[in-house]
Amino acid sequence: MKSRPPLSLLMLPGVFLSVSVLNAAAAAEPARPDQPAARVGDAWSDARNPVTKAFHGQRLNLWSLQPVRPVTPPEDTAGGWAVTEIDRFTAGWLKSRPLPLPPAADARTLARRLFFDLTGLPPSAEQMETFADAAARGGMDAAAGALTDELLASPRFGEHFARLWLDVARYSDSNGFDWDEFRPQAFQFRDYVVKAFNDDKPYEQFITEQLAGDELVAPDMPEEKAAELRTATGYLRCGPWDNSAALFNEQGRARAEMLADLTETTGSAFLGLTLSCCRCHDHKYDPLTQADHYRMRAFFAAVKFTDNFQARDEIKDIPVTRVLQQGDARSEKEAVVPGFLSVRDPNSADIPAPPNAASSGRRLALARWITSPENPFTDRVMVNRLWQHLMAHPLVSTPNDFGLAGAAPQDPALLDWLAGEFRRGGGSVKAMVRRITGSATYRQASGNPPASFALRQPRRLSAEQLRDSLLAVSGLLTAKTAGPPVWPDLPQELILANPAFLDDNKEKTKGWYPSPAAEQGARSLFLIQKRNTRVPILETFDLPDNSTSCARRDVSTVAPQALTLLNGPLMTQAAAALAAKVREKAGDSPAGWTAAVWRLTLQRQPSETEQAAALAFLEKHTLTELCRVALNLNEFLYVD
Amino acid sequence: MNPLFSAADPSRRRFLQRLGGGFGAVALEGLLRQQALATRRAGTDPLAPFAPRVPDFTARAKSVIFLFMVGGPSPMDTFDYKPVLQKLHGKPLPDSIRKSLDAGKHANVTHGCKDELLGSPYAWKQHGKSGMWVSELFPKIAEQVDELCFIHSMQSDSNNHAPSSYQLHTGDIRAGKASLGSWTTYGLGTMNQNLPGYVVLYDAGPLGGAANYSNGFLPAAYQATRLRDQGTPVMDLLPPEEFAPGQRDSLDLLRTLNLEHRQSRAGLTELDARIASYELAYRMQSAALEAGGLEKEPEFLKRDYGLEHQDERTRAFGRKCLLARRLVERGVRFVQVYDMPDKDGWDAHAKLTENHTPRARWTDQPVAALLKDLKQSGLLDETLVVWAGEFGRTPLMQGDLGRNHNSAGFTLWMAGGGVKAGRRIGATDEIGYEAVDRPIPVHDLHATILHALGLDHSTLFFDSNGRQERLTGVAGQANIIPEVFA
Repeated sequence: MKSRPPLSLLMLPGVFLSVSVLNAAAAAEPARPDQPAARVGDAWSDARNPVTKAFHGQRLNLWSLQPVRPVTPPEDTAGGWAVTEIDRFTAGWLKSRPLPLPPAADARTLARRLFFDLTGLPPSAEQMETFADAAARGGMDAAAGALTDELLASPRFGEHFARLWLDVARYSDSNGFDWDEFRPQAFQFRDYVVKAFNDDKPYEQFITEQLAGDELVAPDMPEEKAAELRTATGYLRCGPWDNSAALFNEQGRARAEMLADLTETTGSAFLGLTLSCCRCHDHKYDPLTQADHYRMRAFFAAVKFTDNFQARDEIKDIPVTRVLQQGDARSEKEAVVPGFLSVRDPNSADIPAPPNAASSGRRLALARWITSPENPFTDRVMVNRLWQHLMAHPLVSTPNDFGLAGAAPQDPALLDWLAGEFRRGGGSVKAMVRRITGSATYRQASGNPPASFALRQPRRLSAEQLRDSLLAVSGLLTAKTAGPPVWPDLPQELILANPAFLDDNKEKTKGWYPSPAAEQGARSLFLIQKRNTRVPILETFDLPDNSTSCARRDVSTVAPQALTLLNGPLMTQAAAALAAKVREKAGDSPAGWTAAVWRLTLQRQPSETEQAAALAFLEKHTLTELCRVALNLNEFLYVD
Repeated sequence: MNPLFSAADPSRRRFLQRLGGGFGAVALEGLLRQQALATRRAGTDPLAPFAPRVPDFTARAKSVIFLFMVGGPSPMDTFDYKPVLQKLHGKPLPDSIRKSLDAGKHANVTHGCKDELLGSPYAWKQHGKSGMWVSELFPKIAEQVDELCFIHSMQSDSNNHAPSSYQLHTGDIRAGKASLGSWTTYGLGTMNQNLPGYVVLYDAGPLGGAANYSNGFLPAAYQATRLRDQGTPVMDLLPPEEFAPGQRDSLDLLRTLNLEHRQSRAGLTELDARIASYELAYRMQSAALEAGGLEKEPEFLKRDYGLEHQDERTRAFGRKCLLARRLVERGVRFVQVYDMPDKDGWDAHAKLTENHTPRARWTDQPVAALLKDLKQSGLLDETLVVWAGEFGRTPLMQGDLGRNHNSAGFTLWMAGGGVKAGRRIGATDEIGYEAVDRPIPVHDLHATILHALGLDHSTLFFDSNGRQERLTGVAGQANIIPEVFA
């Protein structure tokens, strides 16, 4: 259910928090830690906090503003159903509804689920058989645990989890706007993210490097380490950029949009807060003032982009950050200094000198605040994303909005317990994945329950999983684990959808440059992600817009998807390749073909009914046509 | 639980019946799921997102054909006659106008220009009963001038193509928002379930690419579908040759196997929806082929639209206009037609006449024929036609007899759909630089178009990332332009 602020709050007259109030608060003290007494406290404890004035002390009961509580998992009341602590939470939640505790999934279901959820790819028939044998021999739990470890160690894990983060970080290989120029070095950031997940980089470090990797580069650091830190700042570069704005004397607008994007994306990605609303006015629901948007923006004021898809500070004459009336770069108002959310800390931020003396230290200060154990958002936001990635339905159904207009957590205690465990575990994503996938909650059979974080329904493959699966089962998937993106061969009419392609430049960034046929079978993660021209099969299956942070993908069911999967060029190719593979394995017998088609696509034997239907079909039609049908099956597209 | 599906099988039958037609989106289990995220406008059934819906109030128009002249056609060479500019040809920009521009938000529209005014090289005449001035560029549209309602005082917030074009389409200069066509189908559904509700037609797309006609944060069901004006009308509509003879049998086998799979998963509407989507796709093959069959039109009409014109580009734009008429006639809600046959469009930075003269020739006859045809068939009453670019052009000269972009004041026109014919709204200054009488922001235009469709812009919203997004902005501050209707 959606939590809405009570009407009385919504009807408060809009109060614009005077920036001078904030600045006065900041000026009242010299911003030195040795004089803590002068500092203004948070809005709960200190009446001088300007937010108290702006919002009349109301709206402060927002759940996500409260510290993460220490939680002890409840007693096991599920009579043996619960395997891990998580299950004790979910069992209690289900029993209080009251909803039945779901049964456990069978071996095949669990294996398919683990493969898709952890690597984004289906198991091969052999991998499925190995797992079934292990489960029969040593028990399902042990086999599933071993498989989880194996998949977590596979490079495919990082490739799949990177997609989660790249959606959140609005990753793209191009600028957007008129020319939508190719960013030839952007892939280095994508590879950094893949590697971060594969190396199980602690989440705090992952955040800090993206926001301020360059500021961490110390003079004596090995070059390899320094290069990785600088690459991480690609996060700051991912947003759209209007490269032709200067031609029309609108560079001010382009820079203001870039800074707004950095502020808003950072708010959504790490804090689950919508800082976009307060770009123009005090937030309608949450205790965020317009000044808060610009105080956050000021952390990025010195950012300059470099040619290699990285960012750094230019500390000579850092531009003063000003509040913009209605967010319009043409209407500048009062100046602000860097500061955190004033509801918690209205003072100007302390900005210690960073290891990199040539940088301002502003972004590092912001990263330290975001990753500090006192910050109530950061860990909750990330464990909610991981839960969603594995269970489809997150605990907070609005993963980029933990505010009053967003949803409240379905089980606040579980959310806080997970956040606490994540912190105690050093921000290890793999440990959290292991923790969630090891639960009976994760290993339940799917059914048709109400939408809930604790229950599973069959889940349709994402656009990337679908395309990758078609390639994988038909043997067309080509090895690629890093490097420059692959440009698919698109029909001319789609390339013309962006007129910029008709006007290539000498730097070769405005055209469309199809990769050789041998590279076309790369995983979808490695396909070029332009802003203004999208790969049709991915777009049809709900690829999100990459202009802004995307927390949760839409799952639509529309007729063009059927047309794409029946008649599109990838299906023609995949069906033919699969048929060839089947012939190789099963010779010329239709019964053998049917068994092989089922084994390769669904990792199981056909039932008698299925066998009969397929054999009747093969009397009139080709093996390739049967393969095409198999690759269109709901069972192929959905994971139980 | 969704109450519609509480019982297993009868509900499924009912469900499949409800899907009935439904070209585009069938059942959207995903949308059901999304209801947790998004408060939906009352009356929108997530299981039938394209089902026709009752507007908020009496609609003047049922459909929209938006003719978008990519690149920015020049008002002072087409529909905004400026005799003072003609007199001041070759002179510097008058101080009063420069001061006025510098004082406002459009000071940059003189950037990149010479300080030398460029009079229109075209001859102007008054036309029709209304006596409207139209330049010689559009002799055939001029014959229809009494049907048109001009707004001469449009303003947008960027002087660059993509941001301004995004704004004309989505209300925002940044990419990522939902376009007018997506909002319209979200608000009203569509009237023919076997065809897409929101169609785009182009040879080359608008500057700024697909972000212009994007569904943005709206569910993917409200994506635009590109139709072709020649050959197979939709990409991947027909099976490749090797699969064509077996298509029906393949669909039957697929259905059999999917129903088998479904047996142990009763009540999962998303699986049912996907089964139904294949039948819809099959039906759409014939519906789209039929709709795309321009050859069935009478010879005289094809000639009128320019399908026999000596210039291929006139023929190409004529096919798009004729196809647009066939689509709205068959119940398609929103057709966006782009005039963009090449990399430049109407972007006449140099040698205005070499750019505008041929482009006018390619579009004049088809657009005029569309207006005439809609009128004669009675469709004009319920079809709103809009003609616009992303901005206009400067009265100051740029480079060699060219004009730069101008977002400070530009002209568009509307026709049909209950708008007041033969009317002019607002005005630019004497040389056509800046809207001085009744400047109209893009949000007001959008509120007005939605109003014509019977939709209240302030209640048509979608919750996205904690914001109530509207076509007219989060604040929903926009005014309907009353003169458009009365």
